[in-house]
Amino acid sequence: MIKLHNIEKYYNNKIIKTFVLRNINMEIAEGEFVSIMGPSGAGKTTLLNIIGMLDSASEGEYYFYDEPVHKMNEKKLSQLHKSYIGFVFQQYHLIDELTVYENLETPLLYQKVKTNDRKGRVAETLDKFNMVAKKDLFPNQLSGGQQQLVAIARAIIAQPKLILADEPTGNLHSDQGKEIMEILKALNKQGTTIVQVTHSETNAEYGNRIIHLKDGWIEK
Amino acid sequence: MLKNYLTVIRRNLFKQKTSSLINIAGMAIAIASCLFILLYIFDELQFDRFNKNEDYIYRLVIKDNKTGEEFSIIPAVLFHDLMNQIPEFQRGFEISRWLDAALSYKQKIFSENVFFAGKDIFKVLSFSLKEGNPNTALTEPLSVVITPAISEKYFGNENPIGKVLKFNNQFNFKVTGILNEVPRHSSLRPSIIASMSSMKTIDPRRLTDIRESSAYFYFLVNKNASLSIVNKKLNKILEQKYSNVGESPRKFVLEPLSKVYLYAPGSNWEIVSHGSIKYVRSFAVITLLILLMASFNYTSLLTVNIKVRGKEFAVRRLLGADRRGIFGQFLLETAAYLFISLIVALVIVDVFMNQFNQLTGKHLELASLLQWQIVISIIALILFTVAISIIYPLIIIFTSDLLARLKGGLYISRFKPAKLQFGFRQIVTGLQFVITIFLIAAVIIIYKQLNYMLNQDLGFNKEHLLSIQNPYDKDMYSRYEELKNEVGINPHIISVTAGENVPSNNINNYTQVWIKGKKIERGIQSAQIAIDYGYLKTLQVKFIVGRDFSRNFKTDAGKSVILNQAACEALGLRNPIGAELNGINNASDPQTVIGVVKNIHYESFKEKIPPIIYYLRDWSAGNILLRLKGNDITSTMKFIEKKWKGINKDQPFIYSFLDQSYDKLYKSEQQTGTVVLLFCFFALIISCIGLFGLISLLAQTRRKEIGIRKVLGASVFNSFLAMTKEFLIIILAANLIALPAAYYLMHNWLQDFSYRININWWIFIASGSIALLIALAIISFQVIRVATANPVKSLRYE
Repeated sequence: MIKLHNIEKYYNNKIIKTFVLRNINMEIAEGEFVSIMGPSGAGKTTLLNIIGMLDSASEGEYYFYDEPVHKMNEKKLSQLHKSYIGFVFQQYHLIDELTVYENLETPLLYQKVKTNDRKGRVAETLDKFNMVAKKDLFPNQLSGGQQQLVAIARAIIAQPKLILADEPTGNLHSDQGKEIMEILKALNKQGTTIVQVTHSETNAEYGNRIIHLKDGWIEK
Repeated sequence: MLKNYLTVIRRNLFKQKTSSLINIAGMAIAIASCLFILLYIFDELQFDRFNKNEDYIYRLVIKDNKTGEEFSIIPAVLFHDLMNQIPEFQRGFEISRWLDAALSYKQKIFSENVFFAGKDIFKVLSFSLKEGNPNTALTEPLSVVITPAISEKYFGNENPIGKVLKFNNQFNFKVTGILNEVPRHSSLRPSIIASMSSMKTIDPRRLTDIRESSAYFYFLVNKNASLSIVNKKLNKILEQKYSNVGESPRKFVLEPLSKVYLYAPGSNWEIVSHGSIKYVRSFAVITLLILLMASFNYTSLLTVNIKVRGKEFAVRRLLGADRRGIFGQFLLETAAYLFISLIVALVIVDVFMNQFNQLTGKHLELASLLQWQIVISIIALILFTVAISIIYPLIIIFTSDLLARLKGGLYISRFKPAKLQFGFRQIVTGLQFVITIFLIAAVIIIYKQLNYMLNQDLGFNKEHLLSIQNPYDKDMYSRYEELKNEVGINPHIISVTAGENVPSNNINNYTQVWIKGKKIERGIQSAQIAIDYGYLKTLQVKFIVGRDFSRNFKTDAGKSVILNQAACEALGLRNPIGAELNGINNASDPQTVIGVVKNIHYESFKEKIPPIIYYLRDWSAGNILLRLKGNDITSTMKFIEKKWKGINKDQPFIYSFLDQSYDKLYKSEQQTGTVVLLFCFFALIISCIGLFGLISLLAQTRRKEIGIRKVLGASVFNSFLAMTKEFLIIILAANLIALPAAYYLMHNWLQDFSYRININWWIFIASGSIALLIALAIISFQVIRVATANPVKSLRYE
């Protein structure tokens, strides 16, 4: 599904090149649950962003389902986001002006899902996450854990093949964190590929492979 | 999707109530101003368009090669030569106006402005007759057509056709038709039209003497005629005519009817009511400025919120929106904002329409907005506003990094981030200041000019001057003499005199005057005013040199003249006293100058005071002029009216006080000036709202910086200085652009007035300083707000 070949990421700061990622080679197959770990500044988030096509590599090649991402234009990228990838962030990134229901509905609107189908899927998802009673609340009326639940619900409602999670439990206390991780694990069991960045050994254990990053290099 | 977008728009609008309110109010005021101005401009452009043959109707205009002056009053004697010798003229008519004629029917007598027109007027212009035959109504001498209003005034409910109206108590005019009221958008506004051929009876000289410029020529030109050829023919014929009498060369031009109203030359000679293309242009410039500023304001509103909005757009992008989707959402938001403002603006326009009509003297209504030209203009202006408004925010959103936006640090752009941001915002702020400074200068200058016009020295004392109209006939002088003797005994009356013209009347008697012994071509066009003894003294005009007419000098009557300063200068007389002049009043003998008086204003300030030559004649008695003491005016007036009625049973007692006539004369001038001033002021307010928004934006982006400075021990004043520094440079630069532009444009604007203020340097210093003060006030407000806030608050995020 994902092939990274000699990926490098650096920033040009006048004369000095500051490297963030060095010579990354990795493959992720469909159905995997990969955890990326490492100390602060190791380049974890940058790597996840490159995989999520939010950021581009300075050098190297990236194939998504054997298609060269490094050669794609903005339009194609947004096409891939729309149909394959769901994101979960540490800061949730819900749209503040929209209710829970409307937040969940938005990705379906962009995919031009028909009204009836859309309503059905939002209702189903709300049900699955036990949020029916909260569907008319705004994000700032929810607790952090609840917001993250909405964010995950929104990420999976479009039925993506790949979920990218950047410290999904970083802002949550351990009980809530555990709940979130269980959900991710369940999703993985149903066939969704998941890549997460995390600090926590416990959370990393939920995955079936761990990649350690240090100073931009993959530790073997 | 649409619903999703609209939901966000609605919630955002209500979330920031105050800023939404200010911004919508600002935009609504801007749009309302533009709507008013559009209505005004289109109404001005509407003039004479009702004529079916509008595209082929022209009026003859003369350009004086020497002075560059333009006028359209022409010797009536030339009309038939032109019609006969230029086949391209399909039809045509000459028209002239007789001001303040006494018209009477039985006991009813009123003063009227009577137009005399050639018989084909109804075939050229789309005026129509309600009754009577347009082909023959004005063929016969002494026939007249009148509007229903005039008919009712004289004849009540009787059928006027065939009835006789007496003209100046002397000539009997037969009513041959009823004229429908001329359309509101006609520059020619007659309500009484007599046949031109009547002049043969009334004043034949007008039809035969090439020095009697008294008529205006309108021609309907063949559809496929070449204008340049017609113009050549015209000039050839007229040059010859004029050279026969030795007059200076002129150029003749056909002016399209559609231009007559807006481009008509000075009203000294003008028969049509006219607007000013200058004002139309000023208004157009103001509209664009207002919209530009409203757009800037909207831009800064968007930019203030852009961190938040940027994040929203980034999230949407992750959820699958492409650029087109985001662009669409942006557009939709702007459209919604404009739509709400437009509705509010329409309400404003509707509510203030009456006041606006009063101010402009127009009859506009909300429904006039539905004309297709106006609708298209509105759409074009709105598209313009939208385009200007969203360019900057869109650039930011599309050039900044998706990730950066997600984190809320929107301003980190992929392209040399700091530079782009610096340049753009500085330019927008700078532009806003340029417009603000320009407007301040414009407001000061327009205000000064209006004030100057109000307090202008007229050259005479207009208080308590009463003018009584004395109809032009063979008894006029004896009537005047009799009244003078009768009222002279009243202690409340200081003096009684008479003149062919009194100030605030149009001067309508012009002639070619030259110094004896010199060639006629070296002479000047000068007004000549017949007066009686004591006229200049009663007006309290100051003599520069020489003396007034006096009964003690026998040669004064018939042989002597008094010049005004302008005539003296135009003739180039160094020692005017004793100079001898030819051409005055068609006298064969030269006339001797015995005095020079200061210039006095007879007409609008827009007009330059023409050269005027005063001479003694008994037809001066057209206006009887009385200087009253000013106490007990009511009973004095009653006394005078009683005496007048005692002398003339069949003459109306038509009087005016000169100070009131002046107010009327300047009213329209002032009205238009006030409207310009008003809209400039609106524009200024809108631009200040914009500055407020921009500076608030800056304060917000520097909140963190100010917070940190405070934690590190900076005082409020230090923070103030840090922020002010950036603006000082921008304001300085803005001054350098705005002030020369203001000088150039306002200098041009003032050229329209013959008597105008000087543009002083202090106006510019003041404009710059006021802009600076406004900026400093807003900066202080924002800095104090941010700096006195708990720094923990501003530092907590990010």
